[in-house]
Amino acid sequence: MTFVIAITAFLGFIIFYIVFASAVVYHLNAFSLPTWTGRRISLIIFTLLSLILAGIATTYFFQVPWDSYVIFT
Amino acid sequence: MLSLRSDETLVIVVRRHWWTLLAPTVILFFFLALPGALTTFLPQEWPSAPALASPIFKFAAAIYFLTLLLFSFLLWMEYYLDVWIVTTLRIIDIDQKSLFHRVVSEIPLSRIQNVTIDINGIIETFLKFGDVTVETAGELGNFTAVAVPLPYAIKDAILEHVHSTTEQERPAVTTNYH
Repeated sequence: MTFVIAITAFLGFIIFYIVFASAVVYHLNAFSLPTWTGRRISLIIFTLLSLILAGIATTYFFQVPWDSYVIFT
Repeated sequence: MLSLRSDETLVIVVRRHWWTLLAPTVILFFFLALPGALTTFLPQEWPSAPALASPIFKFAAAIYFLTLLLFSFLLWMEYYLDVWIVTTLRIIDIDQKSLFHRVVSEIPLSRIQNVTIDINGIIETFLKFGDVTVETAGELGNFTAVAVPLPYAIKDAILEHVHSTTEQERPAVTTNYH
């Protein structure tokens, strides 16, 4: 039961993260001039760091013994 | 993506001075250092605390840093897109207030009447930044770029192109002597 709640919350966070990050990326692309290099560099750094941290979070998520934690008694 | 007209060229792009990013950056670094400080001092102060090396704390730390990364990227975007684009024909003023709130104005150089700079304080004087206000004719009103670097150079660049624009648009004068 705890695992189901945890994975629902985790997936909810990831979906929120993707939607929010997509909005930021959209605005960076929509309101930049083609010659601005900072946009591309920041997008690459942000995407790489996001993927690394999301990978770490997912790895540790599946190592947590969720059902040993009791939320509802 | 923004694009310029075929008959205009980019003169200068004006963003806020880095000083305006200092306070948010310090706060961001504080929150970045917070988990490290907790893992250092918490076991000393609270020996019976749950093991910080356990997967649930590492998972929580990864989520925490993801959230910080997202907010720092948002902060960067608000800085990067809050801009004045000065071209040979106009000033495009993009005022990025928040993620889903921006005001985009266009000021034709031919409508500009005056450019005022306001450098107020010791820090602004030493770091060479200040406010640049463009006063326009008619209903457009005034536009201010807050805390921009090298305001004198920006004013000179704008006025130089304002003068060249008005010279081009001035009709030929025919004088008849009788």
